[in-house]
Amino acid sequence: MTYRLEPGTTDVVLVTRARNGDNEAFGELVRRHQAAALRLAAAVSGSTEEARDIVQEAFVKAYRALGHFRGDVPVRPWLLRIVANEAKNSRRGRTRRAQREVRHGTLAVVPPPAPDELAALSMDARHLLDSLTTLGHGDREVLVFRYVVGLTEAETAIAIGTPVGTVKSRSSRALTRLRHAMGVEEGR
Amino acid sequence: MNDGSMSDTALIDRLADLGEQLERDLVDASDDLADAVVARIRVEHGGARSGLAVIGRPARLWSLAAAVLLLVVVLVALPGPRHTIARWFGVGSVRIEPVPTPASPAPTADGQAAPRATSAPATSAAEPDPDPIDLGPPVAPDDAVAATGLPLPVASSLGEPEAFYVPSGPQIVARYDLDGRTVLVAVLGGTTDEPVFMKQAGSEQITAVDVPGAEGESAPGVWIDGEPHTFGYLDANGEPGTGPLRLAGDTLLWEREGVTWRVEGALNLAEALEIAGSMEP
Repeated sequence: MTYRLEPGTTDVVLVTRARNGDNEAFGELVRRHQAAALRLAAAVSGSTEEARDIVQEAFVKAYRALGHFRGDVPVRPWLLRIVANEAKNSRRGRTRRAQREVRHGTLAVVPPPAPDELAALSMDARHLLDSLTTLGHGDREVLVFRYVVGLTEAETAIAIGTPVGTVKSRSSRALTRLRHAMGVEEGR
Repeated sequence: MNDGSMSDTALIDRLADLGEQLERDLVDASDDLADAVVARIRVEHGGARSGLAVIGRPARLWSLAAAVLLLVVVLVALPGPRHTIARWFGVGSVRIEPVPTPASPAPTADGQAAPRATSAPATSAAEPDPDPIDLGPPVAPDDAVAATGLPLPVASSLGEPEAFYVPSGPQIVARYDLDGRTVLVAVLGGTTDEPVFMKQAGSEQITAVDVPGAEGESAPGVWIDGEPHTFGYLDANGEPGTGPLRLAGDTLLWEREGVTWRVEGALNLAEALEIAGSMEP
């Protein structure tokens, strides 16, 4: 489906149109940000299989929340914040379900994502994703927003709701912890 | 990792590469993601023109207010503190909270009468039931499936459905006419661990039943009858959400193969079980 747009139509214009009932304007917003949203959902949830559902759910929630968008921040980090929350909840739900099965004796341990689910990733990428998922949520989030998705420091600050300075210091610490999780030392 | 050491820059490059690989893997399969989102928005919000006026239509706002008012009346009539509900249990994605049963039944209850499956219960009891539930606009079956990812709720013993709806929450509702009685057959999304719907009913109204399937196998379920009971939504944290709350009529609820099913209407248990038995698993 194509949506006719004047060149230079900004995200904020699309949000305004969507708020006024133009659903296709919201569809265009989804198209613009779905690639970043999918990266984010997969990296935060640790599951490529669930990423698509997470993103769809998150965008529908974002539509419902358009009335709360204040317009004083860029649309992209605002949308991606909603995706990250949805991915976090999905991951939490999956872990809870698995832990329950462990308690009930139907599973031995909380399993990682099925191997074929991540088959499209290189060995290095899978190892990196595994290591990321062992980090604390704050560390994982800042690394994913900043480097896996590729937001700027300013956008990351908006997405995680901290000053830019905190993004710098938190990313630096998180990189160190990620290295430890991967079992490598700091090099040059 | 190969040489056992890595600089920040190399690690950052690896993270960016992970992002590119994830995107390559996912974007091709997501061509219709925007269309699916727009389809869901359309069915949930009733088309383009209504925009974000979720409860903007006066009738809808009024009926929501009436439902909340009646809930308050019912709660005030209940003996004992309401906030000490001690336990709940789930049937599929529906969390069921038994609450104290009213000491004396409300005058409208006569057991067999059409239940007040209505969001406008403040109307006179003598008045025929209004259109019972605000289901939103009818939706084409294909759109309902595309928007929710759920199977269509089809009960062959009831003949052809009059219409399908996708009210808020992940659910598809089919409306049937059974000899002048409205029967709603629904399929609900969500899971037992992450319930998205909640019902509150008097403990005496809730009966555990075995629900037969089309192939003779039975599934555990509950039958809730008598006084209308409250039906609402839970948010992502499992707390009662802000979505519409309504009063539901006699309801059979069960889970089969990870999907939650519901039959609601002015039915007795035998009728509800027969309908359930005619549904595709």
